[in-house]
Amino acid sequence: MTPTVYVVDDDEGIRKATSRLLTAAGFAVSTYPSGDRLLAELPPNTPGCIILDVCMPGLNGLELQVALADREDRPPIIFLTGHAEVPDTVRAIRSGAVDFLTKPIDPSALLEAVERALAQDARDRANREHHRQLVARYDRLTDRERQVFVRLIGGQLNKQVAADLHITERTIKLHRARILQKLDVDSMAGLARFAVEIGVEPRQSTS
Amino acid sequence: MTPSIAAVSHRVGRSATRWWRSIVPLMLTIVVAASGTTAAASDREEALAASPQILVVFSDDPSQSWIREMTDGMNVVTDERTGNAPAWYFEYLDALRFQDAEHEREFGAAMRDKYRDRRLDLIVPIAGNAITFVAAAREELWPDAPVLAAEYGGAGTLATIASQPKTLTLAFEYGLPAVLATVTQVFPDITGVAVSYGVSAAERRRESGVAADVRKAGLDLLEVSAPTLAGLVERVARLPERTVLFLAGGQIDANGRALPTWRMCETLSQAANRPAIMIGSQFLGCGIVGGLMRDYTKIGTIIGEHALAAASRPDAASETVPFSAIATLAFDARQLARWGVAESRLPADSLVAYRPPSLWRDYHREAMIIATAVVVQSALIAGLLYERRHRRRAETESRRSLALAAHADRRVAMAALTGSIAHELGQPLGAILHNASAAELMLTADQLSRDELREILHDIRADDDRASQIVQRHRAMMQKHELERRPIDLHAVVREGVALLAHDAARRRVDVDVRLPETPCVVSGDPVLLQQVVVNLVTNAADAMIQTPPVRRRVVVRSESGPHTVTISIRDYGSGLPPDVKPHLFEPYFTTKTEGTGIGLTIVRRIIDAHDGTIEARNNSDGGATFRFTLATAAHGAVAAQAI
Repeated sequence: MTPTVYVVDDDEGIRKATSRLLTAAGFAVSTYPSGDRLLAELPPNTPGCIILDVCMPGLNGLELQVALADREDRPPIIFLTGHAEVPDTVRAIRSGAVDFLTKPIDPSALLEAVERALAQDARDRANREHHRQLVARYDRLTDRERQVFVRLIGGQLNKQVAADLHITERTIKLHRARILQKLDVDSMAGLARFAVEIGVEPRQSTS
Repeated sequence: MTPSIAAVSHRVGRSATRWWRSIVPLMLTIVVAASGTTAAASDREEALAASPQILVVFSDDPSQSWIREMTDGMNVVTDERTGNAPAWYFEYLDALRFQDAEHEREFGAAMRDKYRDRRLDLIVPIAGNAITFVAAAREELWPDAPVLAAEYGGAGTLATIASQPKTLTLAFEYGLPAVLATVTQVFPDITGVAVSYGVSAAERRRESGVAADVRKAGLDLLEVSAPTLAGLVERVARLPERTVLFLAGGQIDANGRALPTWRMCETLSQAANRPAIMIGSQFLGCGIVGGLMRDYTKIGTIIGEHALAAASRPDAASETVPFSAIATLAFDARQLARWGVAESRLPADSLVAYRPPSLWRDYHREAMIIATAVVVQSALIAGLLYERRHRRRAETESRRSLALAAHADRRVAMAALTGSIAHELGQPLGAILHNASAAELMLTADQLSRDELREILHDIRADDDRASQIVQRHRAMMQKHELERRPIDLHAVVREGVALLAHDAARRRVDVDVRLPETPCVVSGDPVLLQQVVVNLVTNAADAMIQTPPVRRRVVVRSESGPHTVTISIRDYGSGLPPDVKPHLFEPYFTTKTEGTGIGLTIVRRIIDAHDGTIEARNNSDGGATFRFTLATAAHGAVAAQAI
């Protein structure tokens, strides 16, 4: 799927010129006259980035950013602003803006920003995909296997886990093999990395 | 004031009493008068009998001015003791025109018939012919009546009668020496006197005393005579230098026809190349210079007084009256001017007549009053003019101060908008840049079609136009500007004003909803100032909604047209005007904003005032406030709609 640059600007001239520039640079472009329209029409889970004027009637750039944050896919946002207002900038970057360009916008800077944003989006999308897969694998674990998993990644030995869960050490070994298979990792180190990636809290020995 | 009933009735009663009091003597009078008609007639006869009856015989005809003057003078004489005036009978011998003995005889006969039944207490012949007539005829006509002979032409003829019994004489000094003395005082270079006796031999005879007096005064005598008036006119026009013309006669022409002396004097003095004088003061005004003159009214009065004395007192005596008693010293201002005589050269106590009308001299009281009125009026007018000028200056001042204040206010407003100006300009400039870059990229990639290039260039141009419009719009508002009024489309002005603020409004997340009809609305006004009104009111409306959630921040601009007016309303959806704010809304330096100058609405009010419009502010029933300003629309068809 080709990544698309979503241009949101209430100024038709700007919209048209920006669109023309990006198209000439080889990007797929889609334009929207307002943030509301973008929210309503942005197709779900499409790769791309958003170019947004901070100052717009109706939903402004920062509000649109907040609204977009609720979506699963968060295309990176390049903010355009007439006069960089520090509090706005800080807020925008905290909320994950990739770029903050001050008008007048240098075309090459804009194109670079778009490149970066799309790269970022690609990365983000890959990360999200990877994470999604990890979570899917994790979801395959049974409750007992998860109990074993959190204890193993907490650094407990098999017999500690066995004692903790009042089951035999042999059974623990079986669980461990199943977990490694289900999560598609080949070592205890890989297991630990997986846990970090999906954010599962390790459980220390209680004894 | 309403009088009481009592007072009214009292007044009625009193006037009734008066009526009775006045009617009684009235009726008595009527009764007495009716019964006493014959008594009254006899009373009058008694009165006539009591006052002397005097017959005056003049030599000349009654139309001559000196004769009239003398009869006037006699008529004022009354007896101091009895309060009665003499009963005068005047007869005229008209001797110059009727010179034969037959005439005197017929005249005498007529006198006898006429006064047959009259008692005559005194006969008064005046001047030569009358005196000689009376001297000859008295024996036959009035044997018992005494005679008072008066002669104002010198003592000459008095001798013929003075020796007769019951005769008194009254001689008036002729006074020519004094007259000539005055003449030489007024005209110091005079060496001779040209004497005109008129054209008749009779008059020349009569005035023969003149020559001696002239010589006595040491002056050369030049007799001027001609058989006709026309001849005389020619003569007097060529008089030698250093002479005066003395008009001594001229009552009749060579054929014995009477000449109007006044007309003769006018003709001769007008034609003369030298100043003219006459002896009778009544001729002053006919063209003579004036000087010492005989006043015939005074002569008449003196004759009358002597006649009264002669008729009523036995001790009356003959007398010679000095010239000074009958002389008048008077001049004609027009003639003094004609002969170049300064009034300062006139003898003291001279009367100057015929001055050109001089308001100040003749009507100085009235002139004073009028002058005062004029001065007061002028002062009033000057005051009013000053006031008007003052007001106009104040108006101009006020307009200028309005222009200045409005400019200051616009600067503040525009300064607040500078951020948005930059941003606003950034839009088209950015678009131009992007378009140009796009074209470049396409060129590099060899993808640029002609159509696309044309489209890009078109867009670049459109954005460039947009940029200059923004600059124009702001510059107009930043410039100093004198108030001017011309036909403008108010709707266009409102749109421009809103356009100025569009960016700022967007930044402040205020939706400015302009609902104006497409049709132009022509008013006479100043586009910049009216735009400022819109800017200020819309800014104000936006400011009023700082606390309002962004989705509800809306300003609605509407236009309502009346038959001769247009009202622009600007409503906001803020919290409305607090009651304590409303009365001070348009006062200077009154502001509820932390960053406001407090002059915005004052300027608005003054601009609307300068356009003879009205402005009001009201809270809406459903929240927020609405400002409305109303202007008169320009007369239909009188002005074409003009773009701003």
